[in-house]
Amino acid sequence: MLPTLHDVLQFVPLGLAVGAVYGVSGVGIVVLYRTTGVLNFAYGAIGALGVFIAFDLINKTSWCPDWLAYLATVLVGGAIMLAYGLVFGPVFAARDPLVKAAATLGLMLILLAAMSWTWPANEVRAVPLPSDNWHNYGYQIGDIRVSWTKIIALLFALGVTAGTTVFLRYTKLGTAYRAVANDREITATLGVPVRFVEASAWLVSGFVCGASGLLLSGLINSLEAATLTFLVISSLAAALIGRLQSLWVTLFAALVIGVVESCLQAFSLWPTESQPLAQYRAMTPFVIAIVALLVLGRRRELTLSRAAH
Amino acid sequence: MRSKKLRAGVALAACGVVALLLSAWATGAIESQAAAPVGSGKASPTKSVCGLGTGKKAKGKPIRIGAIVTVAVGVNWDEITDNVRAYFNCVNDNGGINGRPIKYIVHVDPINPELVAAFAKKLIEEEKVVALVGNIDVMDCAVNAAYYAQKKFYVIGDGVHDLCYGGTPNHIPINMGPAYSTLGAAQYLWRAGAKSIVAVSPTGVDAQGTWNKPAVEFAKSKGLKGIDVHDPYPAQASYALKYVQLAGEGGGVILDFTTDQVLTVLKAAEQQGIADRVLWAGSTPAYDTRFAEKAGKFWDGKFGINTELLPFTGKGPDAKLYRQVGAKYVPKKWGLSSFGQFGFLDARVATEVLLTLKPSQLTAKGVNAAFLKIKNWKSDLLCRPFYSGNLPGHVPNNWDITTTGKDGKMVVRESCFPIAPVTPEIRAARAAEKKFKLTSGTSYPAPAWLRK
Amino acid sequence: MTRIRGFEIERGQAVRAVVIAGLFALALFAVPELIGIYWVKILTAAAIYSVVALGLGLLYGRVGMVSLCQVALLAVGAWTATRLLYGTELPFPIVLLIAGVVTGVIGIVVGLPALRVSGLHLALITLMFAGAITLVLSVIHFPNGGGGFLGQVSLGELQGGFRIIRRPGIATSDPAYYRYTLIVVALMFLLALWQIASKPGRAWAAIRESEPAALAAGVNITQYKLWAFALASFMTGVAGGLLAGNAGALSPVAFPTQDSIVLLAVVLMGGIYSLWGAVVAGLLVRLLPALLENWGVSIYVSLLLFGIGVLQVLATAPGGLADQVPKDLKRLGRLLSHGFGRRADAEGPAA
Repeated sequence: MLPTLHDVLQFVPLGLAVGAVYGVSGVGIVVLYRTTGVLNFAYGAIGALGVFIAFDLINKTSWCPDWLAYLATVLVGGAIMLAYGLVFGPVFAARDPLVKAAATLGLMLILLAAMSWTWPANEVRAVPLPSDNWHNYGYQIGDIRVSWTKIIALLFALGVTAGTTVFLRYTKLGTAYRAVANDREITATLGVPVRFVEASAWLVSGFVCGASGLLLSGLINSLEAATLTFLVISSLAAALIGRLQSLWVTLFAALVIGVVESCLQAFSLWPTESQPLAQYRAMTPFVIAIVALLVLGRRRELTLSRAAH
Repeated sequence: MRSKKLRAGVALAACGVVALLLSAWATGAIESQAAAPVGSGKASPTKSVCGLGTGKKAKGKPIRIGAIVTVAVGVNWDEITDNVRAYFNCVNDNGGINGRPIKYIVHVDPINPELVAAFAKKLIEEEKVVALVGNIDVMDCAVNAAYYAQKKFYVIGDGVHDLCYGGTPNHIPINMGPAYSTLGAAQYLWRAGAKSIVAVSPTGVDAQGTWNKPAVEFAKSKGLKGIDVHDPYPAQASYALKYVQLAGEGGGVILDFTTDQVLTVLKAAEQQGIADRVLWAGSTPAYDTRFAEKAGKFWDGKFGINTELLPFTGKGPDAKLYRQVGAKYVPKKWGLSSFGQFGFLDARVATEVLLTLKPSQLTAKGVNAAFLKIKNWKSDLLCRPFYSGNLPGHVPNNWDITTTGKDGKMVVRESCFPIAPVTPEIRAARAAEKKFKLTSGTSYPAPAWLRK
Repeated sequence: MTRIRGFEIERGQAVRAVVIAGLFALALFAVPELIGIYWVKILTAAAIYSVVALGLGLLYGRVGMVSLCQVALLAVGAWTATRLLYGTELPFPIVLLIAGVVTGVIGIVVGLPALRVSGLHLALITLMFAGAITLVLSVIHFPNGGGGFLGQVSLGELQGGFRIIRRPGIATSDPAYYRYTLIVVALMFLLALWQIASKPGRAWAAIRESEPAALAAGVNITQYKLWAFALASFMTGVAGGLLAGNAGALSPVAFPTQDSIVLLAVVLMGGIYSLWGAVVAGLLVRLLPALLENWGVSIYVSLLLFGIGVLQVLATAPGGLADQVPKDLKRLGRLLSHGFGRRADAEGPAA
């Protein structure tokens, strides 16, 4: 039983919002990768940790106002990424991107273990965002209400992408980012403070990480270590489609992934009731990434064992 | 450089040891600060005690009892075994089993079927436990059914896998399991006037994808549209819209999810303004005393949660004892909940059986043979008396209640009703109850105040 | 770190081979008699996992390709074997072979994008692939004895009731199955050794060192990369079959995506350049958590240790434990002999 177009369209607003958050994460991941050569698999885990801390600040302390807890999430994201970058950045600086990425897998496992231990899954947890309730839960679009959180997510994603693009192209620091991304050694010899540039990349990427963790957790209304950690896969898929290079393509890909994944929910009785298409929607990032790579990536890459891209 | 690394390593190890010692001391200190003995006194129809209730620590040779529990990222069922242990500790502080304390050995399975098989063998052959009480594991009933049959072990536990509920003679569940709990929720929805029933279970945890079948069959038998849906954790906001679309106006949705996952869906429905288009229900995993508080006033009376046991907030003696044992012996991270009640009851019925046995019968053979003889065992936490019996399968808990939220608290909405007999296992259970008079007549084990 | 290990038969090699054979014989015959049944089952699981680690070690250490979907392929092998063991009367070794071949074919399908993308992109693609396979398995469930292609029905409909997955006729008890597993595992290791020692191994080494150079030398990169995937997946599929027999019943929840990441972690810790690393990896991922559980330590500690281990290995000892321990032992040996030598010198002239 095919769903009606009306039924399918009802899933678009949420898909756009979630896709927007995937996009923000994707942009953060790409900028970090371009500047430091590190593809951070632990992105989702870091964001999740920030949200858990916010949860404890809101619910387990009496002195912390909500806005401070949200700020804490962003700051924690930045702090963890900066700490990792300062400690392990130099250690892996000369290694190839695969090794750098594999190291972040270590960080991911550490964070996952720490979170699962400290916040066992038996307790009900959520960090709702105030924008969920603004304007009486949002605007009526058709049969459903679209909350301000979703609108903010989309605007935030557009803002971050636009802002980052402008920053990279027109500011001095942004140019330094691009220079370091292009060739670290030559840029260093030209007198650009490479270490500072990299550190700032880690920090700002971390802020974005914390913010996207908060938004994502608010959008899906749940706070659980493993799942938040692995939602990074959708962001990685978007980044992959952007060839780990173009920010706008990353955002666009993320939006497409988000919308398709969400709209597939409508196909819950098609083609059959027992095996509907909706059950396979978690494969969306994968399928879209594969298709995009096969269609877009016609270039064949040869690798040398120690070269960075 | 190497000596620096060595020093760092030694320092780290020393810190670890100190931390371990500190935590051990801390927990030990808390235990030794025990004040008045909980669960002691003289048992009567209005007062339940732990075991013999003597208030004196048991010091004999320990009786070993084992369990296998699943704990993994996202699944923390050690709440049940912690509650079993809590009750056994209370028993040990109150004279034990005729002077002998119970040593409870729990093995944690991080969802690894090879390990589950290995644990069963370790418990029975190496650690030589006399019984298994409180098993709650994703694969235990499937992986170990043949082994338990071979060793003649009858596990008093809390299922999960389909096989545990009527499919094997070697598992005696205190709970009714997710499939029947969902069925109970379907029955509530039908009575509440739902025009369709959409039953949702979590992919993966519902390993065989069968938890919704009884509910869907029930719906169809009443002439309603019945839809079987599987969605993975974590529940996303899009789920709410999907289920409302599937159920249609005036339909019913059953969420066989845990509390936080249910709340995700409900909140999303509330925010999107679609909550009032359908009727909502949940099975037991959703039940939590703080549910009403967390869901908010909007959901008062709109969400019926099936719980397989009567509320522990009641005035009955077992409810009271559960609250006392829970406050004193259960680790603080667990509050009071249905899962806690399961553990409590598992341990309590096992203890009562052990107390009827002569010292020579406290062997694996004797204890497991006794486990099969349980009949007409009553508790104010259970709708109907508990039993086991020498049957090809056990579903002794087959009556149910529905609760709902009201002013931030959970209250009973429909008290004890029978689960609809849509499956052969339930029909077989009811037939056996009648034939062997398992819910009437002399109780085994006898109530504590009648114990000889 | 670019090293090409040649394999020439010389005295050192022969001695090593004898020692390894001796250790293997010990593990095969003596170990089940010495330890309890629980640890026998744990070691069986570790042996099975070491084959999966071997596959990944081959892909990463020999060819330079990271696959984050090996555990998902293990699940595919286990699924295939389960279906065949329930639905047919085929002998166990044939089932293992078929499971290996099916998984190998799927491995090739996964490997096809490998031709287009480099290391990091490949890791990402395989990670997503792992998620996809896990998703499909959780939708179709594991067979439980029923009929049809998927072989899964409600328990009430099962003819003759529920049975656990059958084992080979000669190895139904746990110690016997342990021995059977060890023999199959040894065969897989020999297969890997043989391939590494012959043409594919040299081609892989060339590819890992420099693809343009290999291309210039006339190596068919496509073919050998796909062959690496096929081989690694074949071995993983066979391991899946052994896993099915060991567990007795399986569920998709037992193969979460994160396990593929843990596998990479332990393979790195064990050492990707030596086949011993695979053995160490298998012990790390199955024996260590069992030991921790035995001592009452939380299961998350092993996850934490693996995370720390990855960082440590990548930062300081890229060869992993298999590389580092012999080096440390050698250094210890030299330290001791150096100490003795100095004392002798001191005593000599002073006297």
